[in-house]
Amino acid sequence: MSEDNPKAKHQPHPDSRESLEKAGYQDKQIQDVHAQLMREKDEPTEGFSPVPLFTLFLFAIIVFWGGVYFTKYSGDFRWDVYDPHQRGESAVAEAPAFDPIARGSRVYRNRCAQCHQAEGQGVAGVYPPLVGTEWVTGSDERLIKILLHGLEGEIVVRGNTYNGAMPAFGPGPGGLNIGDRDIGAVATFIRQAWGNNAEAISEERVFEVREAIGNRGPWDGSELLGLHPLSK
Amino acid sequence: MSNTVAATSVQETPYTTANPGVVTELSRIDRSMRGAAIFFLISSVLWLLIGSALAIIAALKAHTPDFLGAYETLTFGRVRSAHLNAMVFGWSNNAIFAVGLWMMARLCRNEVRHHGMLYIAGALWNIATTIGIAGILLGHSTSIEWLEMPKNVTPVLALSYALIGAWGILAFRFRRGEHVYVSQWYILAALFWFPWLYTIAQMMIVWFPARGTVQAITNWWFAHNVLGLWFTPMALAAAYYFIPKVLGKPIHSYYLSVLGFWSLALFYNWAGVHHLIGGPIPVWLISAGIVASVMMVIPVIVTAINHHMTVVGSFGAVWRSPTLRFIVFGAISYTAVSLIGSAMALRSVNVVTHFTHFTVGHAHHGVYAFFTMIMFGSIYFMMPRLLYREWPSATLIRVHFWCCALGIGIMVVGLHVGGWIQGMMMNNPDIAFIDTVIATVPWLYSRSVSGLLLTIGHIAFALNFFWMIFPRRSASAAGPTLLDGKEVSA
Repeated sequence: MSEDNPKAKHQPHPDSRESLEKAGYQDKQIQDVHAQLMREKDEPTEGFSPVPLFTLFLFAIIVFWGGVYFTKYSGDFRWDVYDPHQRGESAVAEAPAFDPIARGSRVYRNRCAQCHQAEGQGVAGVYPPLVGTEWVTGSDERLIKILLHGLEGEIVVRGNTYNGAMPAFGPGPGGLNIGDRDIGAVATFIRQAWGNNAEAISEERVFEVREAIGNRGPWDGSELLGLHPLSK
Repeated sequence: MSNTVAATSVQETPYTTANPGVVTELSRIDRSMRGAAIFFLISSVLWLLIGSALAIIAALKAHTPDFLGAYETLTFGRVRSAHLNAMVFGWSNNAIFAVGLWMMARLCRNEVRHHGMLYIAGALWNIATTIGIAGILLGHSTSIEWLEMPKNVTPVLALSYALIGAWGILAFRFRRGEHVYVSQWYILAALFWFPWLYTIAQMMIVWFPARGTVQAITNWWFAHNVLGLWFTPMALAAAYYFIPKVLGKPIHSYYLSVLGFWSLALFYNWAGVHHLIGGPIPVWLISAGIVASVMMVIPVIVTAINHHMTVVGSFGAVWRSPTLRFIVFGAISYTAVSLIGSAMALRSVNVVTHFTHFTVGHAHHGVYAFFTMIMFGSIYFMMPRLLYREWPSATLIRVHFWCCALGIGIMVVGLHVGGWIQGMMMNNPDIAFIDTVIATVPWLYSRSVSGLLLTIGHIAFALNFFWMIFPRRSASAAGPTLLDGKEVSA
């Protein structure tokens, strides 16, 4: 193990210049101070062993797999294909047509059914019913206004008096920021579900009403009836 | 056997430490780097301790949410991000600056000139990192993963990096000697890759945000490439430098080095998109990321063969030398973590591991078991050369190694097994979400245990480190500090 002995490795030829000049730093302390350097092995170098043959086969297989995989799941390099199993023109499915009843039913379940109940029957004296009342099936403008801005104060629905606070669902201050399309969809849904039968309310109609009014707080029951009186 | 190889390489190359002139030159280079390298290393060790403390807090909170629950600055979201940034920008980058620049200077056979600039840049870097982490803890995080620091400190970080990186590039520009060694390729490339990644990510996400999913793509391109094109090349450069250096053998094959370097440079850059599998970005981009991730098997296998064939026959020396014990642990971990990473990129595996603790375990496997362990090993070699002193305590090195090796082992196994169970449960629609959370709790405890072990290891390392810098007795030359007392280069 001569290589492991640092001192043996650094003996220059006795006649060399280093050897002649060495006397000056033979002192053991100086040697000790530089021990970390004196025992250092060579700076790293490279050998030239050939690349093992099996790796070439392995890499060929990986590259082949990569090509197959990439082609198979490339989605034809389209920006609008997101599903790895879709390919070609058939990949781009038509956006499903907007169904206001399906959408409205969903919005109703998430937002309205807690109070007005699953079948729109309400809770007598607390939450007014939506079934068989002109508040829902009558003036579309009145219904849109209630949905957008909310409703407070005493109202009478199907013989019962209610004095609650319907929250604002529109985009105004304090509102729950539901878009025109969903307001229209849920209004259409409640006007046509559970035996109700009134004409649909379009997104554009909601927009029209909303733009005409702008931002405002909740309507008062009597104020709203002044603008849109019930027919009976 | 190792002796004959070393002897032939001495004959073939005139540049050998058998020549006292070469030793003097190396000594001068070490001396020119000394102050700056020690400065970066002290910073990195301090950040390592801070990062460990933050890690422990975050780990405990994951299974005991009430722990330190009353402090707004120590909520999980902030502590976790602070831990990540302390480890990445504090510990890792300072260690890279010290180890990378020192290796570059030695391999380029050129002294570092005007190293005063490195102090200024280093001070700026650490001040900006401190402000950035304080900003995260005070609630000013950008909430962009790996780029959490408030945006106003990032130009300072970029500027100080530019000053530090330029020194590495200048060292290469004024190199001496004909041959450019593989470590130099990696360091030089990484010195260009990192600023490119960092500035592009900052520009496209924070300063002039790109629209929509491009931000997410840029985010994962950046976050994954910080590992792949910054930490990985620097750690590989260190492994390529220290394994032949300590063993006194040439690296096994130049051809494998070339293949490994260029395949890494070609494939790694694409791989980050695999973090977005299932996300709303064009499917071809994700497929490209998956293929590139699997292609990473090539550089990994090549590097593994190259390192293994160099080490083979010298396992005794590897075990005795603190440097090589850590570095070979890191090199083995590189192979393991990369192969697991390639597998995780496959859609069929990712569908289980995505959004689970498996990914967390994988990240620590890479950054800790591979990168950090190699940096520890490098520091064990550098310090005696910089200070002309030996490590004061072999026992502390042993404690450091075993705590870190066991700690990271427990973490990787715990989070991989726990994460897989979590993923399988989350894919089962019959299991309530809260049950998948409860099922991870025992595995999260194992992470806390591992965090404790790692912290003990870090404290042992820090004790040894500062004891060496501020010795109580004068430097003695009883030989290198080895792990069983036999004579080999540390």
